[in-house]
Amino acid sequence: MITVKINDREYQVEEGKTILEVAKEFGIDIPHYCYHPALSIAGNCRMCLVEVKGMPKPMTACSTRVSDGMEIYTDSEIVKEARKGVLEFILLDHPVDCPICDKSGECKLQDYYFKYSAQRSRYEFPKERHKVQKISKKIYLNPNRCVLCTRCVRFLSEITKTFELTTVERGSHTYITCVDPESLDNNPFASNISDICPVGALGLNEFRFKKRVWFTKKVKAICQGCSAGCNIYVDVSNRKQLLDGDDDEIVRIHTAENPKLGQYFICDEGRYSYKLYNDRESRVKVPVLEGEEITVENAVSLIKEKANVRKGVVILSPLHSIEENYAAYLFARERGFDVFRPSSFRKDLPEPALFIEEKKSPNDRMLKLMKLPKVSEIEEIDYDFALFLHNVGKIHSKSEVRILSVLKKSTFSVVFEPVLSEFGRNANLVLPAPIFIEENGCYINAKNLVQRSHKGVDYMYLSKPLWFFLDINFKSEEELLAVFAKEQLNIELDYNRLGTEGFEL
Amino acid sequence: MALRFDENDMKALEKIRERYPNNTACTLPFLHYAQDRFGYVSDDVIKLVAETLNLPVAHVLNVATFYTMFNKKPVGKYHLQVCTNISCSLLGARRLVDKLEEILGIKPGETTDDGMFTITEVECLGSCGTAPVIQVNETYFENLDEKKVEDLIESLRKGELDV
Repeated sequence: MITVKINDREYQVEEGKTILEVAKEFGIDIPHYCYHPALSIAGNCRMCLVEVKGMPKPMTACSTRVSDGMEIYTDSEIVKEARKGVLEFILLDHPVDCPICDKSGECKLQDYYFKYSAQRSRYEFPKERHKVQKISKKIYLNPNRCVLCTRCVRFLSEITKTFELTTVERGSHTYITCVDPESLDNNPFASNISDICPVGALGLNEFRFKKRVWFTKKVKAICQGCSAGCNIYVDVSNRKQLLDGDDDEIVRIHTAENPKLGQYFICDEGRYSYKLYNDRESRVKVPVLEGEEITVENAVSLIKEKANVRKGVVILSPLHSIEENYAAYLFARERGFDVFRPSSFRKDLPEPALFIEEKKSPNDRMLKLMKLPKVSEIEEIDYDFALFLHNVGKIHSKSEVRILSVLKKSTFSVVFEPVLSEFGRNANLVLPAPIFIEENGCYINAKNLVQRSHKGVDYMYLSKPLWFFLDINFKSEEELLAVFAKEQLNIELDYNRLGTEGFEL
Repeated sequence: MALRFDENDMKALEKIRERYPNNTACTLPFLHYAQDRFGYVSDDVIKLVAETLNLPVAHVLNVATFYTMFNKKPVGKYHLQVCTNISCSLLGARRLVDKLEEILGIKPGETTDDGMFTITEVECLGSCGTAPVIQVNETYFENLDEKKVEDLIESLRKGELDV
């Protein structure tokens, strides 16, 4: 450990880190474009200039390593002047078309210019203009808005190693171009370049002219696509600010970083999975008994009555959160029912696969940790009562067949799911389940990290969490997590302890 | 028709390759060789060089477009590169460009219809002491004025100069 002074305050820091990393650690904001924690240092945007005592000129914080006794100023007159100058240069050739730019509202150029520069342009010559082009089926490139930070170029050459983008020409004529649109189409991570672009140069065709970002609400959630447990932001239209009535529609999914997981990107499959959740017509809207809609109260009392048997079974789901699963587990334990787990749906990994997992369910690990028997081990399928939890997504086809036969054979079967599936059609009672952003839920990923997905919108229609239908005496989902952790993992766990990055088992 | 290096080319390139630590370092010399061989650096040439060196096309394109010495379009038999940097400009490079435009009837960046001449404005040729300078292919013509430019074009047309 060494001592450095930042803005006249002393900090104990690790040797070998850069000024920008150290400042970030202590919550000191240094503006930057080209720096990205998962990519190599480029040092080309010059936005992170800071003053270091004894140095003749301002230094780039992203590429200067701290040394013992270093005195750094991030807000001195020299730094302010430098930032102003850098921003004036960056904006020289910029179209300033914020009103029609999709990045507007979350654009670093807007934010920094407003905060650090806010001056009139002194440039009076014609600006260089390029055509906006769709460089892939998913992505468009507007070179005019580009600040040449080369994050996208570095992402494609360092992370996916597919080299589709590069800079061409030099000096003020430099621009980004795509050499291989086909490769970009097939790249399973290509859309990340829209997230890491600090300005409006790269964007998703799908999101173009679709929604102003200030009319959306960011919900921090866990991707439901596979057992990697990537952190995502789910953007939903914010009903409080909108008058046009498309309330709570998911407009996009983008990356939320989790340094503990080493996750700074998400795959395209996860990114575009939001469409599955926007299909409201297919939602199970109310409890349905043999094709007849019934009230929630009736459903609750019916379950109580029908579950008053000796031979019952509860089949949990790797597609549901810890809270939903554990409510069902407690319900089964109280009555001495059998509990089984289905196997996850598997899908071959794309090329490159990076962090994508084969198992296509977010909570496969929880059921494994509980050491539950698999559905293939069910011996007699004619139960008096059967409950199965299903969700958007798939489970292993062999498990599917087994569960369907249990549901068909049982005297009374209940399926808890958000979208009507083959399971619901073969059950006596279907309960409307919420989708992941309608409830607080925790998931254990393949690396044994417990992470929380946040509730962002109200329960749609009459959907309710399972503990409500099963009439288990809980006040919140958080209590269920605590009970699960205490009983199954022998640890104390609550949402506070999970924090933003999750809890490692 | 796809471009390719023949056996002799490959031998020469192998010799170049031996002088450098890795393939990335060979990008420039290989591009120079390819320009000499094919006349200019087209997209196909860039792909060929990338393939030969087993490097991403993006990398070779990046290098080839960064350096103005690589011609992305075909040039005439005589490539007239007029320095319009500060020293030459002070000593009348602008007038030389005007004269060339007048004689050849083309603008900088263009080639005459007979494929003989291409005019390009270039940055400093490192010969400020003998400004203004025009580089014809690989040869410098120094201390020029409008009269000398006329004579130069005349000689080139007659094929009297070996450049």
